[in-house]
Amino acid sequence: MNNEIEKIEENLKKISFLIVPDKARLFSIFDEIKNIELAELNHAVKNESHEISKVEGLLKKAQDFITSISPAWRYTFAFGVILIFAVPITINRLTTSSVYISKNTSTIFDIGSSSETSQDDLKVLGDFNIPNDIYKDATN
Amino acid sequence: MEIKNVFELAKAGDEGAKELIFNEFYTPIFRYVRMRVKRKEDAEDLTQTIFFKLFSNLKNMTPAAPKSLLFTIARNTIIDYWRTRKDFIDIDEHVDTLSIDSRRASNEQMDLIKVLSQLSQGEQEILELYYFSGLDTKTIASITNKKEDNIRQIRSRSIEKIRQILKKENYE
Repeated sequence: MNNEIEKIEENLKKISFLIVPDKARLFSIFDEIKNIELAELNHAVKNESHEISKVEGLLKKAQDFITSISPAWRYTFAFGVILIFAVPITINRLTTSSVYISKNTSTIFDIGSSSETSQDDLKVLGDFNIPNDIYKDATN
Repeated sequence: MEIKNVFELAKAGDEGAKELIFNEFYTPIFRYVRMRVKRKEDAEDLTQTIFFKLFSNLKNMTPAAPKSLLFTIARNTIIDYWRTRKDFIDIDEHVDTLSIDSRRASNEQMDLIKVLSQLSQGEQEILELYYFSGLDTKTIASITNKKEDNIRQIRSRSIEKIRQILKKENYE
């Protein structure tokens, strides 16, 4: 039985030598791969430069717009941008100051600003024996 | 030079390293693909696609086990090939004796090829990867997402199956 198995294995190995690629085609196949790779690379570079020129075009348009308007409007425009971005952030910073407290439990209390914190919330904090300084911060 | 280092060089864009990988692995990959598809032309095209996929994606790969990587690409490429053709070809009957140059095969080998096609696709694949592409059990396990012990079992069970079929059908 072992002999038979060995023979089968030997023949399977020999069969592999019957499956041979066309050696003459090998070089041309490798060259074709290189050419496809090169074409893909050129295509990618072309796409990338197209994207870059698109962004450059937009920037140029923005620059043209800014230089075409009078200085007074330019400052108004800049001030408007500051208002749009800076004001909401500042308001948010001023109105929300959160204290996260967890005491012998997985519950997390999120206390809002003093104006939003109700007396009930503070009572809950009191029940959990919050250290004085944290309690003070939350109430201030 | 270790094959891992050659892959690293190829990753860095070394054309000589790419050519070395191509020359080293073209035949084992072709053998694997040839046994999985019916037409020789398709096998050549697929093998070309496999190497193209490897070279064009090498930059994003970390070839810790280059052989596994290459054969995994090959396996996925073959799966994609059959997925696009499953509507009109029976996937279980795609391997036939035409895969082999029958003029050079002995009668015994031709019988063996016929019996080989009676095994399941999974069994055939493992035998092909082991005996035709010369991969070790560890690499085959990594390509086929199976455990090494499992690969060993399938291989020995398949050989035993072949032995019994040969005996039963009185192949000489």
